[in-house]
Amino acid sequence: MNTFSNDIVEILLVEDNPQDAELTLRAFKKANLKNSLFHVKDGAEALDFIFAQGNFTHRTVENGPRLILLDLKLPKVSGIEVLRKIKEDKRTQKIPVVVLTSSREECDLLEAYQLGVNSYIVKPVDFEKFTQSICEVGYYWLLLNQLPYGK
Amino acid sequence: MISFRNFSIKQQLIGVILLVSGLSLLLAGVILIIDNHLSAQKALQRNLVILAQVVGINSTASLAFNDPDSATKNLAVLKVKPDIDAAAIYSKNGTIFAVYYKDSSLTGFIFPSTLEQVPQLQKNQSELVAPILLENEKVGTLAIVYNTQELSEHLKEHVLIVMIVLLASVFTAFFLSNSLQEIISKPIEQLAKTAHQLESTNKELDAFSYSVSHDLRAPLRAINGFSLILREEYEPRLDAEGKRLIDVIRGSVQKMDQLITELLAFARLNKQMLQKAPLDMTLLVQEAFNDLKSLESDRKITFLLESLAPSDGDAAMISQVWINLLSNALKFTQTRSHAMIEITSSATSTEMLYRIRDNGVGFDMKYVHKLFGVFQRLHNDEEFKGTGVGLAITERIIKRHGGRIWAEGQPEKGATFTFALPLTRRPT
Repeated sequence: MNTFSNDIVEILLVEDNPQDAELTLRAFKKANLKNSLFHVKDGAEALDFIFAQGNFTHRTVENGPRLILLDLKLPKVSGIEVLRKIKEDKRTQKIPVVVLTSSREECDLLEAYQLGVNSYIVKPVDFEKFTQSICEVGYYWLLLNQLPYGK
Repeated sequence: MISFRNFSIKQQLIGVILLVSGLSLLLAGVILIIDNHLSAQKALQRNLVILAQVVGINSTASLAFNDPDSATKNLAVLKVKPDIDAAAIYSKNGTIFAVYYKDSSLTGFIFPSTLEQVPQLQKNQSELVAPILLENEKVGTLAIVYNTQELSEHLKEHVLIVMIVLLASVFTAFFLSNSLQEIISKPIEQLAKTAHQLESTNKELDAFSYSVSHDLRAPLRAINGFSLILREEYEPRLDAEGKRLIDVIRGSVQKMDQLITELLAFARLNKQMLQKAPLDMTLLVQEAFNDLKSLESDRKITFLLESLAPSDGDAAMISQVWINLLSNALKFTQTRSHAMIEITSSATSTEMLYRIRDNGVGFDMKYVHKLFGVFQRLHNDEEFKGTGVGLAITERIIKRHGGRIWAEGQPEKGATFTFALPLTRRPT
């Protein structure tokens, strides 16, 4: 994926842990979800990408991802903050956001739902289960789920 | 608004002591003053009455012989009692007969000429009127006007004394309580400090649990995931031993994940608020067993559940207790061809007892004290899987309900776990 292009990105993966990122990517590949996936490593970069600012001024907001996989514990800007900004902006609030996180803590869960997260999934330690979850997420949000305007 | 609670314990204590001692002293002082005053008044009156009788008797002759001069001389004797400001004798028909005034230059009180008229008394003056009798027949009337000033002055004196005593006592009380209050307030302050410390420790524990659940799991996920990738993608290049080694790694990861989950549950348990409500124990047990049985569908299990007495408790936590106990019963009867689990309840005068008995491998009573310890196990992982946290959690829950739990068993003869909950309602 060329970071300097305005190509369609179907899935934005926001994940700071390189191992988790690699496992997620492998899982998608294994599930044959041949979607274009872009990976950012922190909250600030995620916001820059979505709102076409910073290093991504060549992009447009309208050409945003169809699905955002968001980890909560991120450096620079937290996952909750990213979620808040996405759901507050009329241009981006319709993008499905699936929180993929290690934390089953009640406070995170509550806050994410209050901000309008579409789905909250806890990453299982078992990799096979993890792969299965990723596949199900991908199939559901990219193929089954209907978005208001055709993209 | 300044409220009592805004002051320190030391100040509150001293305040209460001063208030109580001050009020008691004030009350005692007031009662004494009033009693004293009333007694003095009564004494004065009594004396005056006696004096009036004496003077009256002495005046009968003057009245009978219509001699106002001797009557006046008689009255003048009253000079000895300085309380008496004036006195007068009225004759039988009510007209003034003789008078005496303590200080003739004293302007103010003057006896009216007839008895019917109301005398104009001055400040601090009172009048005593007594008939003069001769052989039980009224021959005249004696009126004595007396001064209560001395009485008032005594009253004022007493009030002053009481106030001085009160002030002195309050000061003494203040200094005494100031030095002695430490005996009571120090332990309380210590307690408050400990409570504060506990609160911050709890907060730290929360942060710690959060960290554990998040950060410890991430590397576990990596080990699990990458070891699986290794096993699958490098399979052709791995011999049996290589595969076994990887499986050992993966097994340990599963174990560690389970341990983390149970440890977090254990830690979270203490934070949770207990929500007590009436419980249908039979239903709770049945639901727990149904959930667990679905994982053991291929086994022969006889489950004897009699109708259990209801009790009060937190439904989620007591469910957890039953799940733990039943899952243990199921686990340790694995080696039996036909597992038997029996659940009964009974009541004593103070407790409701619930008993679960199984026909599993049992245990040696000499290790009974280890059963409920955290991470304490009586078997190794090869024989029976487990982390050793289940019973510790169970005991914690029962203790938080104010109950107790114990176990009896014999090797190869099964085990019986009994827990008691305090009786909160009358057994029907």
